[in-house]
Amino acid sequence: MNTITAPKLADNPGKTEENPHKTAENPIHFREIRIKHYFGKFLGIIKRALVGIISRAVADKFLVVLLRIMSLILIIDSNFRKNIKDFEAEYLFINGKSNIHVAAIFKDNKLKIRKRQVSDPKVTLVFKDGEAIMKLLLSYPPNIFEAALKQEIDFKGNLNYLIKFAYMALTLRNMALPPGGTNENTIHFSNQKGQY
Amino acid sequence: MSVTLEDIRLSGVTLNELKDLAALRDTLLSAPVEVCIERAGLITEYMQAHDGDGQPPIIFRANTVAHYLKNKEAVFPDGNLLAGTTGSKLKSAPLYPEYIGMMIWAELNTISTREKNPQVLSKEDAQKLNFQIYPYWLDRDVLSATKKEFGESISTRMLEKIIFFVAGKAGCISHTVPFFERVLQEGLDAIIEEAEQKAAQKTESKDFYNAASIVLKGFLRYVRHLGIEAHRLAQNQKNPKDKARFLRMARACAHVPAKPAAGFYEAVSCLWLCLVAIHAENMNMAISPGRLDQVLYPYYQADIASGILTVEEALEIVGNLWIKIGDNVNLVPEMSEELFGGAGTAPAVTLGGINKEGEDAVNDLTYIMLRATELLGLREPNMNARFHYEKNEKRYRNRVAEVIAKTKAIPAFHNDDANIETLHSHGASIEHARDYAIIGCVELGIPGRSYDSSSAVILNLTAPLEMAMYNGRRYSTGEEQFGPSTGELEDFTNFNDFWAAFQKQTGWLIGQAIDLNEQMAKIHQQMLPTPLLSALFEGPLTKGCDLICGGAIYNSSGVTHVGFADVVDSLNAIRYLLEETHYTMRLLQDALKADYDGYEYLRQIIKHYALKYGTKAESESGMSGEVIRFLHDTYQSHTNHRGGKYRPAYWTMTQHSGLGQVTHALPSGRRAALPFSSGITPVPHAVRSLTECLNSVASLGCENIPGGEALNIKFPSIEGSEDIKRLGDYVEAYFINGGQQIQFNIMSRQMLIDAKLNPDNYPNLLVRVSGYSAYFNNLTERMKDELILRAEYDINGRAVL
Repeated sequence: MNTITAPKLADNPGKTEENPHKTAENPIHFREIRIKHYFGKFLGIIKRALVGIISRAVADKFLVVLLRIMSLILIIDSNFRKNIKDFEAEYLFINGKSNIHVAAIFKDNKLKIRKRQVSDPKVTLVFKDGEAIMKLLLSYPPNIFEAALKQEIDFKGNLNYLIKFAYMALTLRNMALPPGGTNENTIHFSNQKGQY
Repeated sequence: MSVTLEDIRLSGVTLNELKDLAALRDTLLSAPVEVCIERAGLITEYMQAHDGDGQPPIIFRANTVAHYLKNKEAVFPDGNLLAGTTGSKLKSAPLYPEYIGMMIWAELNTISTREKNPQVLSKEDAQKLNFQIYPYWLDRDVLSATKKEFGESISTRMLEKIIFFVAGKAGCISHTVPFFERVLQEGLDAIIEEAEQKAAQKTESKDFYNAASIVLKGFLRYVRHLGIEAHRLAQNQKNPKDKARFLRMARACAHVPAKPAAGFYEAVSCLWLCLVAIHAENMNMAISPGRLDQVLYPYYQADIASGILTVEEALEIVGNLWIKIGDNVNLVPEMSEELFGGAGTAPAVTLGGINKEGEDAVNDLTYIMLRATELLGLREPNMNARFHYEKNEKRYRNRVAEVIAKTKAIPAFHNDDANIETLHSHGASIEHARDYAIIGCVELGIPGRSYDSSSAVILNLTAPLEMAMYNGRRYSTGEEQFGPSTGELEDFTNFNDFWAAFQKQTGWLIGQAIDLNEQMAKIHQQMLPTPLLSALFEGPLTKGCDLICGGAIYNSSGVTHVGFADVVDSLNAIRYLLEETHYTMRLLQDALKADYDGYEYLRQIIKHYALKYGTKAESESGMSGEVIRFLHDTYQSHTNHRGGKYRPAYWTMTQHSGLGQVTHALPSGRRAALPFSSGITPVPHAVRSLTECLNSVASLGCENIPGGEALNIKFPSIEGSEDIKRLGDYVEAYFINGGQQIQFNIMSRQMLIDAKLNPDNYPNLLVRVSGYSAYFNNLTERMKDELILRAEYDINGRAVL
């Protein structure tokens, strides 16, 4: 049976969607394909709207908003969910200014967020304040070492996990792009390159 | 050896005659760098399937590398005469997940389009990395494995802060010169046979020998595939010239490296294939071909004598090898661009000098290689010319100077007399010392006999200086305590106390860097044995011991230092203020915290009255020499995991620019964020006379700098034979006084400013950074500024600006 999945906006920000009317070879499945196509479009709108919220979050709430949106998108987007297939890791984020601890727990193909300590995080990221984490995760690409050199962040643990998280955050941001959008839109979305 | 060429400049051979070579050069220079994940995919595939099989680590590693070599695609991406490619692309940035390959994870969507030095990664390969390759390596790369085994330590913390030191072992097993003579003379079949015989005889080392046999057979399988593919392509060619080219490669692959090389072309093919195989096992970071004019000379001489090779053909084959050596660059994450931006792989080729018997080693091939270098003007290989002022002829010296003038940057000159004495005094036999070759930038190695890991640590020397000023802390890391408490700058009232604090902090930091290097070495030994590279060395097959476990005849580790001149000038400034003025350290501390804003008078006093490294007065006062001696003696108290000593060195690549950017104001009068001086070069404009500068640096001697040094000198222009001769005279005089190495940029400040403003007008402008060469346009804006601001001397030795 031919199956057509929703266009992968996150993976192909530079491509326009293909018209399913042209690609469907078997007319018997036309209705099913059309439903999937429009459901995919609807999901795309929802995802863009959700991710758009991140850009409007105030600095102090930025991380929690990002994690919550990430958690939701992981539920509704099977392609994005592949990032955490068989991935088990706990992250601890600490706001150095407010001393608020936020844990991101990836387990069973889900992301749970807890406002508390975790005992054995793979990586602990201490950021100077809300603006510092916002600046890092909205830069393009996130430059962890530059932020560390500028004393805006500090980390302990396995750096690879932090880099993976930065990649996921960037992929999430790309979802805010309209169909056919380019990386340039993302730069515009974050005001200017390397800034937020 | 004698030189038979009538015209050592080979002025009759140009790229107009060597059109194919010119086309290859253009293709290489215009090709985009492409991230190559072929190796990463294949080794991950093997390791995932066989993890937990219970194979001994060295066998597992050998099987992993062999799996890659057996399945590596045979590609012929351009019209090169030589078969074999490092990656699957024309210009590959191979990804090594064991080392820093994970660092581009966050950049998978952007690395292709980043502004500076983009490296093209296909969407499909990015997906493969994200979903298949990287997840396996999350806890398995060298740094993660080190932390897992030894826990979080202050040394790993300092490494991740970057501003203290860089640990080379997180990035590679490399920086060495293999021994190609045996594989050329006997072939790999003989080496495999020896390994298999010894595996049967020496049960305690059988894993090592079996591993060598496994990986070498994998290597031969790759060459077989290359030969088959070359033969297939030959059948499809309509152009007789292309058909002949492919058939020639097919024939070479059927013979070398399994059998002894028959002739010059096969010898060059064999050598290149060995380099490809070495890159399969380990990342190419200064895996250096060595003394190619010596290694290849017997094959050249025999072919010339028998009439089957002409000088022009030899030059074309050498040119093709130069192109091939540039077929790979390092994968550079954006986050490293500031520190390493524009870096090549620094495979050093060494020419000239004297031979093992102590006689002039310059031969026809030396001049052919110089001509190929002059015609192509490429970043790779990193060209180096040894010069013995008593044994080598003046015409050789002047010819090297002429090539420098033509290319504006290459080769670098190295002092045979001083280097041989240095290596000999550090344990090498005199015959071996005379056979030394340059590793990577400027480091000294003995091909196939010494494993020097010459970039084990890159230590920021301004770090312990700051720690001595801030009671064990660094300015940029605030209140976090790193080093021992030795007091605040404001509390020092005599220089001897400060000097003692500096020594204590430096000794402590060196200890931390070495501890981490040793920890990573243990991880390398467990995870990343090198049976292939070991088989291309003298020693490992005799001892039954891998190269990284001490198999080589000579063993050492290199530590290079960034910020030497700035530290010496800072120490001199503190001494001057304490001993000759009424100014207090409190005042200096306040000035530093303010980045001299409001304290310009103090900065000017320091600038004008404190001694400056590079001047005669400073040289006589002894501070620079004292720092060199202290560092050397400190390293002598450490022994590495292979039983060798640590060797201090002074070359900085582009790190003096990157680390300067993140370092606050210094007592020398240097303001915050400005670049440090490069290598062992005095701070720009500290010395008005070139002769004074050369004499001062030479007075440091070489015996305490066994790791090598880079002295950068800039002339705005060298015009005509008289200028070339004078440039040669400067080099010779510097070497007679004991100078170790010198490299030049022949370009004016105005030209560099123009190049910065109009990069399209200078598409492949070669410059010497500190050690290796780079294309100016590939450098960061900060590094370009550093080159622009370097001191400039006219040919009479007077400072121009």
